[in-house]
Amino acid sequence: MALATPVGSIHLWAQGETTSAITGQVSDTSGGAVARATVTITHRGTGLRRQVQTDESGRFAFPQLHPGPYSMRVQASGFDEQVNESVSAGLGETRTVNFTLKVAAAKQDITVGSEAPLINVEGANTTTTITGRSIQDLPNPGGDLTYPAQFAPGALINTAGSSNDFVGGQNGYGNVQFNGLPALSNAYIVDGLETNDPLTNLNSGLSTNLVLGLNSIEEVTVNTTSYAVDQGRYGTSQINYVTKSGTNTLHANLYELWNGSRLNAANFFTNATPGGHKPRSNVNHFGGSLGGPILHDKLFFFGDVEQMRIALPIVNTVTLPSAAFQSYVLRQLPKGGTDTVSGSSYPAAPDLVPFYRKMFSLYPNTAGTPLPVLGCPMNGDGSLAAGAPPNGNGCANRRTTSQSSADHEQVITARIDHNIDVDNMAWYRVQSDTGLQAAYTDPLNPLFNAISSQPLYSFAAGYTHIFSQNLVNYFNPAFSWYESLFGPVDANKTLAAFPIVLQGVGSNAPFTTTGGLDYNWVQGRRAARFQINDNLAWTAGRHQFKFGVSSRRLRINDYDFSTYDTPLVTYTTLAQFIYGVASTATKAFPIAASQPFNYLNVDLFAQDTLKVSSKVTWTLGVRTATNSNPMSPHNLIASLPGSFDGSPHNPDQPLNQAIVTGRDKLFASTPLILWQPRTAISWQFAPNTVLRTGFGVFSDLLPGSIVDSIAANPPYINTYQGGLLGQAGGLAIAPGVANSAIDATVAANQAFLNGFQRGVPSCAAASADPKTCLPPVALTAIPDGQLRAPYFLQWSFAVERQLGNTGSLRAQYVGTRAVNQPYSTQVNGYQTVCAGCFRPFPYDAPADPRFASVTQFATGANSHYNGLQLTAEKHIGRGLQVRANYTWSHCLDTVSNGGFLSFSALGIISPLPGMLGRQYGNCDYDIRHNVNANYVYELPVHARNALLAKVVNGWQLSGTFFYHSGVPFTVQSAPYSANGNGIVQGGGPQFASVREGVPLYRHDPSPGVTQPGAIQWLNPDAFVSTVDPSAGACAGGDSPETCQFGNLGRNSLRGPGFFWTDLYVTKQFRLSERLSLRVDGQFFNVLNHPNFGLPTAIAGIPGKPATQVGFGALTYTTSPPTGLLGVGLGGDNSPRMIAIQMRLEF
Amino acid sequence: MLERLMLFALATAVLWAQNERRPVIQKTPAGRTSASSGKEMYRAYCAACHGTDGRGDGPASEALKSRPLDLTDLARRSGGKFPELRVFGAINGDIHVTAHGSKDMPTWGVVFGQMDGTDVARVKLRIRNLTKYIESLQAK
Repeated sequence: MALATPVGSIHLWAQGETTSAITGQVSDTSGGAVARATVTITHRGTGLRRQVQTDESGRFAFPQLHPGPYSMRVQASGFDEQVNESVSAGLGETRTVNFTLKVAAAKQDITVGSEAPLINVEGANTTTTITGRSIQDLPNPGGDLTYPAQFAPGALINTAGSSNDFVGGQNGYGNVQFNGLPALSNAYIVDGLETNDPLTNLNSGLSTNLVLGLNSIEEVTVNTTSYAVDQGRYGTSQINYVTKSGTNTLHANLYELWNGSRLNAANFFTNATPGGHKPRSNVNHFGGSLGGPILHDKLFFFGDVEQMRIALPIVNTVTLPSAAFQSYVLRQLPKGGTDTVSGSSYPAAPDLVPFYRKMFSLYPNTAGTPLPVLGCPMNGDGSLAAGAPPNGNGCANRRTTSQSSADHEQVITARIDHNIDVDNMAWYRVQSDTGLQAAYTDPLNPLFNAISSQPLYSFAAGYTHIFSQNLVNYFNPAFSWYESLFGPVDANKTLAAFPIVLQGVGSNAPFTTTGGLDYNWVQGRRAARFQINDNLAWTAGRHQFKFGVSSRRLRINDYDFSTYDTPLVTYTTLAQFIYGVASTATKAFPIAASQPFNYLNVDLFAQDTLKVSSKVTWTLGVRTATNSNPMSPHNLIASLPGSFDGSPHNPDQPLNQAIVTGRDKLFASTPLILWQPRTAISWQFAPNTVLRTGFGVFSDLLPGSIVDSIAANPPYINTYQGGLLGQAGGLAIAPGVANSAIDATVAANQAFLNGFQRGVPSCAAASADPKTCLPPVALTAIPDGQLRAPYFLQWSFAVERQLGNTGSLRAQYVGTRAVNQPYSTQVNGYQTVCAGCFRPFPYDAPADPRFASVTQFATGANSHYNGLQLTAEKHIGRGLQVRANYTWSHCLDTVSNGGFLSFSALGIISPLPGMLGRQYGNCDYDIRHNVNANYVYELPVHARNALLAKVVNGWQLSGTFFYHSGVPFTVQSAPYSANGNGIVQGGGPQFASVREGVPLYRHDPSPGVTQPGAIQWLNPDAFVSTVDPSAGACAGGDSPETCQFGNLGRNSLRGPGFFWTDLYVTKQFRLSERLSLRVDGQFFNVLNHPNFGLPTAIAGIPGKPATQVGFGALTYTTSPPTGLLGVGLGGDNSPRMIAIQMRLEF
Repeated sequence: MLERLMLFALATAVLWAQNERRPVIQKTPAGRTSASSGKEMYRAYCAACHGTDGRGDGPASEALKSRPLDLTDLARRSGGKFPELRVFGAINGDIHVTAHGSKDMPTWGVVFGQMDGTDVARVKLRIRNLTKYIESLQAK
């Protein structure tokens, strides 16, 4: 029985004339203060109730009370409840009532505070923790490390592209996006080691493009609105992973996951297409871990091995020259002839016969369905084709080919934890991630395949030293090296077999590209990263100080400089193919295949977390970032001294005076320090309720690939174009033959190098000698003066309430603004249609004729975001765990996702020149309604019969759920192409117009427009292309009135919503006291709900269905950014897929 | 008959007394404490089971399957030297203690980790200060 002794006394001060107060202290029988006891008073007359918690000294206070009789109750964990039914608070009095609590008698239920906190009563950040158990239980397609971040408040899963592959085509970039800020500003930090790909700032995906290693992860913490200054460098979110450690007890697991196409549903469009069949695939994902003691109590080890093997079919439709046509070409080459389509005459080219013989020998079986081609002189039956020009079907055959693609990746992780003593602890982790990616599978010949081995090796360590009970330091160095190079297995052998890439352009040049993607290879990077982090925490009274440094040094060897090292040759008519004529032949001449660049980042931070009172916590800190100017150790950066607009466009100025060479830094200058002050206040204004608010400045980081464009300038990389349309001259498609277009580019480059150094005038100069003058060169320009570094502002206001012992609710407003965001514009474009047409492009001549296309890099884009985020959580209790987030938001910006890689397949990141403001509209990730949720439910079946228990006990259901409303996109006009005119070396969105009063959306098929199997989404008659696609000229005739971009706003339309749910059905078998077997049936997209991507968005002319064919229709399905078949490897993760996993654990 | 009724009543009373419900532990989220104060953390997180003075007689002890360890006896049982690394490991979760990590008791290293977010150092400081406080409870 409790024997508490309330003691009362009265003080006649401190209160107003009409109020009273009760104060006091709660202690235990030893005299120790009882903090966080709940004290409740109830006015015995009115029933009015108030509640407070005691502070660290056990004190409590009820000021401003209505005078009268009160009852008081005191409750504290582990103690008997105390009640005083008769406390009188007189007018103007402050009554002191003390309580002495006794430990609770054992007959009562005991409340023990032993669970993880449900609400964040002091912390500044919005933090979501995904525990090891949830990582294992929750569906995760592909077992990807980034996937747990999808469950954080405000997380938007990227479904805006068909995949997330950096190499692929129709993609969005960034797996998850938060709070209206770039999806490329999420930090993925494993044991303190930043793992983002430094070239793109994307999460680092290697051979499978997944981020593997999930089985080695103990816990994931997602921080957004991170007002605590120890979080930073990437401003949108910080996703921290902690790897598992060994313990004194041996623990291990072993698992295998299998998925085969027989368990998968077919794609929606496969079912909708007659004759469509589901491709075969096979996935094996297996591994295991082992952890235990090396020296009991002191030294522990943990190791994890994981391997994923994916077999995919690569199905292509190819078009090849028929055997008869090949013979015809070999006969015609020595003769020369006339193009029956264009009327042009092409000279005899007997030198090309050996080249063609070799090319034809590389083709596989060329049989197939005959395809009519304009200009083909023969039919499939050997007869001469009729018509002028002839349109025979004897030249080209079309058929489907199938190759296999095998990707594999293996990750090995080892960690040692060393408890030296209670004041010194250390850990060390090494990781190896190796594998082989089938980066490109050629449909014609495996000689043109490209692979990428993508090895990564990393080391990280942590050393904690505790100086005293108030002072602790954590030192965290890390290092990683990785390579991601793409190219043929044996480039020399491939190029010896075929030294160019030959590509047909347009329907009159139908043959499948020969030579694969060799003009892209070798591409990629090698990156070494050194990091040193240190964090000192010091508690002094009510202050918790934190000081730290986070430094990073990057060395990137960028191989993107070798693009076009292998020439790309195009032809546009069948006759050009017959006579070996190049329409264009493009070749680049880099001074080296790769260039090294160095980057240094040093962040310093200081913070005080002040306990203003027992209820109020104030966090105030500042983080500084010093991001170095990207540096070229070989001094091989060339550029204009400032911006293009700021440069004198004087044609008579030689290029070697316009371009500054030998620079070692990318920008003219960069800010020395970026200041990032941040503050947050938490107020626990009721026992289970917290109000939190904060404001912070966050720097945003330019990706390493900024050097790809800016540093790829002449004279260190010169790109020339020969052939019919090129400026370098030449005609023949092969190198080393008479009148070779490729050899002409070699000569032009040599002339440029010689002439540039000697100051020879540009061909635009009045004094130019046509024989020696320098042709226009392309380049990228830097901004004037010091770089305006990009940064974010974030602010928020949240109310969070604990419900019972397992639940919580949170409502949070988040506002963000991004400033100085990067973007690029083509500023030297012009148009050749008519004076005043297609504003803002000038007519007939570029601003500076010495240059070809000029890309101006700038930092001036911005964004605004406002969002309401609601979160409901129920921690595990009675077998059920639920977490659900809903976000209602609106985001507006001029350029999305950091300006380099777009978030969605139709995102526009490059505005029209001088028209950044015209871009202001919905962000690429402006999603009005967004829900993510997950649950784990242990079925409440507990049979006692041993046999029955084996069957019915131990079942669990767990699942995830995603819904978001449609992704925004823009409808554009067809490009101008009549009479060889149009927009030259320009870029930017060519907006279409919208017709007033016509519904924008129409989902029923439109005759002549909607193609079989497609689903109509937009109303084709609501949008008008400026250019009539059937003529290539402006609709209504070419004039300044008709030839203008349309009135449609950027991202003013919406694609279909996204709905996705995954389910795991789990059965746990207990094989012995310590050994258990877990079997999962994993159902991804369990409802097989088709989620459609964005529609085709190039408008036609209303009333002319032939110009609208396919417009506004949905033609592909989309899925989460990761999947069982990897990311961007050619596999389709969108239909229902079923995997089976077995997992042995002890 | 009366005797039989009285015997029955007595037996029923004895059985009732024997079957009196054992106390049940209601687990709630751990409250915030100062990482610098081992005493405060001990009282908030440990005393309910191990008792305020560490003798294993906290109010929750009778609700556990096995009686909590007498923490005042650790040094004596280790030959007079307080086994600080073992205690540190037991709190952190490196060392398996029958009660810790079972359904009855938490692994405090994990709970502290969720309490202090990504601040590894502060978690270690908490465990170290708790260890030092437990050392101060050793019987003299």
